[in-house]
Amino acid sequence: MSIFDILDVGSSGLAAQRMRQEIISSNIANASTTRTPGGGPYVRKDVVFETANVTSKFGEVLSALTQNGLRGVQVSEILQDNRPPQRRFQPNHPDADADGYVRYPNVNIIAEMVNMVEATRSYEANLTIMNASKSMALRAIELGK
Amino acid sequence: MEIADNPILKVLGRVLDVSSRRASIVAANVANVDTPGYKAKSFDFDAALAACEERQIGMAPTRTHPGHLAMSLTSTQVVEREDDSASERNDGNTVDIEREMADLLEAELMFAASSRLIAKKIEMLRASIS
Repeated sequence: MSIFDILDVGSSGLAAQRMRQEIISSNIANASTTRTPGGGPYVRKDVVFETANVTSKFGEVLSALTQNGLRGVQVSEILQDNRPPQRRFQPNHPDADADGYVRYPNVNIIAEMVNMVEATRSYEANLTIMNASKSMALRAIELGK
Repeated sequence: MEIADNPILKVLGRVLDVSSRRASIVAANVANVDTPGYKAKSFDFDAALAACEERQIGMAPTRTHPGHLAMSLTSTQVVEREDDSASERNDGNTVDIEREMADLLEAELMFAASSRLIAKKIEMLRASIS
């Protein structure tokens, strides 16, 4: 694994965390959305991460497939959170049902915020490592001077 | 003494190698900090040391079958961290971000130290040549 593979692994982490941020921002933006094209309120979404190969070199892929290989990360799927929507009594709301209840998305803003902080921290950690390996590579270039 | 065969430069070169290897392990662990079921990897110094000792006393493992993979320094020394079962999260992930950052710092410092030593060594060689 060379210095460029470290950058590849790091950037796979950045991409995965950014994707997570996008999903979180979509959840927060739609925290009060009661209408969707599919009908009903917005349904909260969540990402699932899985390890991924970051290289196409045969030897690297082979060693990554064995237990000890080093692998990057990718978003394997975006899940829908199937918890029931929150029901709030708002009889004057245009989307209220016969009993006067409006179905709001199952988004918990506080949980989303916590997720967001976590994603930001993970993003920063990946960046730190990319910076560190870059400075190591630069130092190696300086060697002969 | 041959300049190219300088043992000190060789050892320092190995340190650079090992340090960047450790950084790549940290990179993989941090990238997978949120991957369910991922087990943190670490660099196995015992295996690395054993490999070096074997090479020095000429007892490198022999391949008894051509289909066997060669004992390379890259694949045998990455192991799952053993003492991390206590910090395993509910999703089965064992990456400890603080520990990874400490590892990275250590690898970076070792790399900086040995690269500076190599630079000095080359400087000395150059001084003796001119």
